[in-house]
Amino acid sequence: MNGLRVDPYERGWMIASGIILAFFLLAVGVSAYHGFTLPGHDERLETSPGGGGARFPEPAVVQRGPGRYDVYMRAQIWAFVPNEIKIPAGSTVTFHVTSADVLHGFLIERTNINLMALPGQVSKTTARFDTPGEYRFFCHEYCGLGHQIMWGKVIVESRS
Amino acid sequence: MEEVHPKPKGTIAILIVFASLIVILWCCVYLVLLFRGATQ
Amino acid sequence: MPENNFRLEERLTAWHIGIALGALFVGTWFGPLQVLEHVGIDLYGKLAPGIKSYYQGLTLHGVLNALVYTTFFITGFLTFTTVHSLKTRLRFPWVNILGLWLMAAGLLMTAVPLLLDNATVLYTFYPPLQASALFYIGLTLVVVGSWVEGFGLYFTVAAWRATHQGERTPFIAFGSVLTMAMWQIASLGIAAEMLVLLIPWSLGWVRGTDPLLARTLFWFTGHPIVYFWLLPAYVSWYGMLPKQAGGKLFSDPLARLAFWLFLVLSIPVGLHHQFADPGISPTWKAVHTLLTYGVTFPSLLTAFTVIASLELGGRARGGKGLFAWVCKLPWQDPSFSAQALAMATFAFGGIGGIINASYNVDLVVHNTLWIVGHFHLTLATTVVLSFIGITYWLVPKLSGKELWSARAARIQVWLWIVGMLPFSASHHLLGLRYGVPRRTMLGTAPYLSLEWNPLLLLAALGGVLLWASLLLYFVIVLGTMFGSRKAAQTSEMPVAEALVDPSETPAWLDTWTPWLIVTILLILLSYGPPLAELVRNVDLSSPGLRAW
Repeated sequence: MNGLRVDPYERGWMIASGIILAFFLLAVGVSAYHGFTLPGHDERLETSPGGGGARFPEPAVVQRGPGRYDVYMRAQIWAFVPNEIKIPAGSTVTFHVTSADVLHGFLIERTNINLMALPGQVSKTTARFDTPGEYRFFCHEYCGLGHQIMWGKVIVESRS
Repeated sequence: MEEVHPKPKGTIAILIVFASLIVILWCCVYLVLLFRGATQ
Repeated sequence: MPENNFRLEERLTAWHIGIALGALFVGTWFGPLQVLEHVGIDLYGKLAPGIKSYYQGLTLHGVLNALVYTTFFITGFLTFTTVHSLKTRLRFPWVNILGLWLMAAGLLMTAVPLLLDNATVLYTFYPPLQASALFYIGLTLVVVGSWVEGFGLYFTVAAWRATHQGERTPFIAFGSVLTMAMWQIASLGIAAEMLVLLIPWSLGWVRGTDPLLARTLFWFTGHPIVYFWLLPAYVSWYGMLPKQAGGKLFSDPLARLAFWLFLVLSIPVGLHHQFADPGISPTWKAVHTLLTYGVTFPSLLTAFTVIASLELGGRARGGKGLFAWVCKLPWQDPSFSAQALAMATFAFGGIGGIINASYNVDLVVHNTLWIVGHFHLTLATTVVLSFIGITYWLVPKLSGKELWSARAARIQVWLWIVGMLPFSASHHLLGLRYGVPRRTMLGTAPYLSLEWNPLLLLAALGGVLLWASLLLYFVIVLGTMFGSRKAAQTSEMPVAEALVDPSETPAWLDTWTPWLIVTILLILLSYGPPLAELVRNVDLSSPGLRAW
């Protein structure tokens, strides 16, 4: 850099910082390549009646095959529909989440399911539930006075 | 005109501690991500 | 130059800071109310019928502390720093006075629906939740007022540069004006959100709005606003604190370079607040991740330069050894200790920031209490505690009185840290380990777990200590302003001397046009395509909802 004198210690620090940050980015890139992805989106929905575009299916838990499920979830003021999902251990579940009204959040404890639910949008992400137990999910975006009662659970039953 | 001043050794010592903390704490959260499983 | 030459500018600054502290005073009370509610102590009944809900309180806490206190304090402080650094009066004082009136009018306008529970939408006001139109218009006026004041500062600096050709702009004035310039560009996002989407919608001129577009425009501004908050603290850390520590600014050119990098890199990064959003491609989220890593550089650079500057002071004061020089720094000066502790805290705030910015790693912590822990380290401590430290010389300067009392101020500063440690650590852990949601009235949540309680109790203890520290702060400020002890000698703005004279700093570090061009280009490259796609698919069909 013309005319810029940098103390060698300072230069060393900047290089070390750069290496650390590059290492982080590499680790992130590798994990993203191996399926640790951000919630994607299915498609844009028409929210106005009679509009074109796909409409969101009725909330449901649909089995696609042995141990494979799709959950169509609607977040609304102030509940998740459905708010209880029962599946056998070892299942892979893909969540498709939309909002009926305002912004909501959706986070399932002990998983990487963490997304925003918006009206007119569908958020899509997947988790594999190996360990039996209850996995609660919460709304984590302010949606009005009943925000704190908006929750549910995924009940993972042991295969026996 | 370059003024002679002592090398910032204390600064580097502090920053080594800081850099170590960055790496340790970042890796902790990264490992939690990996432990909680893939999303695809 | 006679002392009363800056009387108008100092009155202007005093008004800004007075309003800022008033806002902070009101906003503060909701902090302890929130943490206590989380452990089952609901004191909101005591505020009825004035405050109708936890969420109205939370809105006031966020708006008053994060938007009002900050904007007023910063605009006032940077007016003071610019004129004193240049030793030049405001070029067109009426411009800055007009700006203050606009900001004050905006504040009053916003306060009405906020206090009447017609704007319980939190400080992010995401649609489709809809507040009264006055709320949006008022906030817009506050932003516009700050723009006007920014222009007042540009005219002043431009006039100085015209009569000082070839000289380097004094660092403090340079940093101050760059902060305002960055803010003006950054706030275009929120201005567009308000003027194009939210105001027409809340006035009923348009039936519906597009929540994703609104959110994206909000976060266009929402990330750089944290640098609008941080850079004035950096102006003090680089430009004043070394003097207070008996040292010198280690590198004038690198200090300026850090600020230029903030201008260029603060804005094209906002999508890192939307990693969990649908409707935005992972590619653009990844681009913003890279750029966000870029904006960590000027802060890492700052860590070195500022610590090295303080080390010069510590050693000049007799410090020896690798770490022992730290003890020789002027810890008995509360202005110093506040800012030094704010700096140390930022180490953890910055680490948290890098974690949050790391693309998929954010999934572990997004919208949990971790985020609350994070911004109480960065905004509430790094920025606010630095501002508090600054007022420990600025309020005596503006009032002509002696600080009441240095001992109380020292206690206030340490009390803040003693409160912040448990508060922030517990929130980080609650978010990381248990995924506890933020923005939530947890005390009455049916899913509240027993295993969360120890950490929630720690958080409550911390929160109460923080509140006590701030109350002490207000006592000190009022005690100074209305105290009878006139200062023996007027407190002056500390100005650090650089190790190497700034005249040796290369001219490209004092030239605006190329940096502005790169700034705008980078914004177009990083935000152009994703915004264009959102606009192409815009769907103005979400009606306003009042869910409170």
